[in-house]
Amino acid sequence: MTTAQSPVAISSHVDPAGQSFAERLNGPWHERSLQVFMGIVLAHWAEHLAQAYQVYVLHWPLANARGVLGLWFPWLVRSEALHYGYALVMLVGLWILRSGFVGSSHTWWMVAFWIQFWHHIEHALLQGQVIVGQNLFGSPVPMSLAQLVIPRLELHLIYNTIVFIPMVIAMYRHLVPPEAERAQMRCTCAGQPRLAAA
Amino acid sequence: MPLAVFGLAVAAFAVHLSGAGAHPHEMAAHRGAPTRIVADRRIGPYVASVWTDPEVGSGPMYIMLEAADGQTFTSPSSVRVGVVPVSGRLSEVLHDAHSEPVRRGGRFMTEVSFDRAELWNLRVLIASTSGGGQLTAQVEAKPNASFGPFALVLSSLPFLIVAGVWWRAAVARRHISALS
Repeated sequence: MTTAQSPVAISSHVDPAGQSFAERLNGPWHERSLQVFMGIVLAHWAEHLAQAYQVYVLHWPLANARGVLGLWFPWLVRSEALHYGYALVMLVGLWILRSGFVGSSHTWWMVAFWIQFWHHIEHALLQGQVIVGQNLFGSPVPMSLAQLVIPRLELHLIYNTIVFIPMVIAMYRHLVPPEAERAQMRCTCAGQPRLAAA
Repeated sequence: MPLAVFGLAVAAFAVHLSGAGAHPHEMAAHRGAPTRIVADRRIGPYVASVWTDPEVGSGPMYIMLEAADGQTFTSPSSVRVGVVPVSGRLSEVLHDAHSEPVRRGGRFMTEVSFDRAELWNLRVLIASTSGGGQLTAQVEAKPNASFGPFALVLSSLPFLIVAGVWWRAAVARRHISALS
């Protein structure tokens, strides 16, 4: 059911008193949470940009082109802890910030979530092969399913891209929502509660 | 709820690190996956398969061994891999492969380097108390990172897109403020 809310009603939603942590994250803290989340996403892209710069502009060998953090903490890149940690942060962030999105932005956000969820399943599959000590397809190393189709370094870049695209569409629809969706929003992301408070 | 999700995430990360610490190269999910270039070839008392990811630069080489003809598997005393360009512009370089834990048979791994995208001759030399031998094959080294410089463009796009969304949202906010 979609009903337009009065400024007073919207204002009462923004009051954090009596709200759970999750409700605050998706209500009055949603705007700031999304900024932090997007900061993490862009920091990760910055690592890839740095790595691409090291390879294609500085002509470093691929093994030495470890981005910025990888220069000081090579084990982060060698062990894939950085990649996996980021995949996990993405999954958690997409899940706990989902209910702040409404209408079409929520749909796009959940598309990003489910793609990221599958990405995580692939990591679990790799982890499972290490734990069991038996690799799929007779391979000497653990294999993910997507590696069968895209057996390249760029698989990680592709995963991040196909998660990023629906995520940024969701952000756009959330920050510049249609009027019907704006009325349902409980956060300050599109600006209306500030109007209500003014 | 968010705390529970956070707890699950920390646990998953800990499990991942435990595996990654024990098998760093195995956990390299985003490294190119190796492909089999030699399948079930007989060498002395072994049946061998060779897997590699033949990119220019340093690449892994795996030699998978099983006992031939239902014999009992005895681990070889040494497994070496030699690579040399077919063109003959360099002399052969031999690499000692180290044993890795597997449930059945043997798996040996070493890193070899291909300095140029071209055809290379490959030799695997196996020695053991029950016999040995060598196998030969050819492998074509390919340029790494098939996206090439496009990766630079792709990695830059998110910043432009986010900047565009932020700008559009700022315009929309100003519009709403003006209306009020």
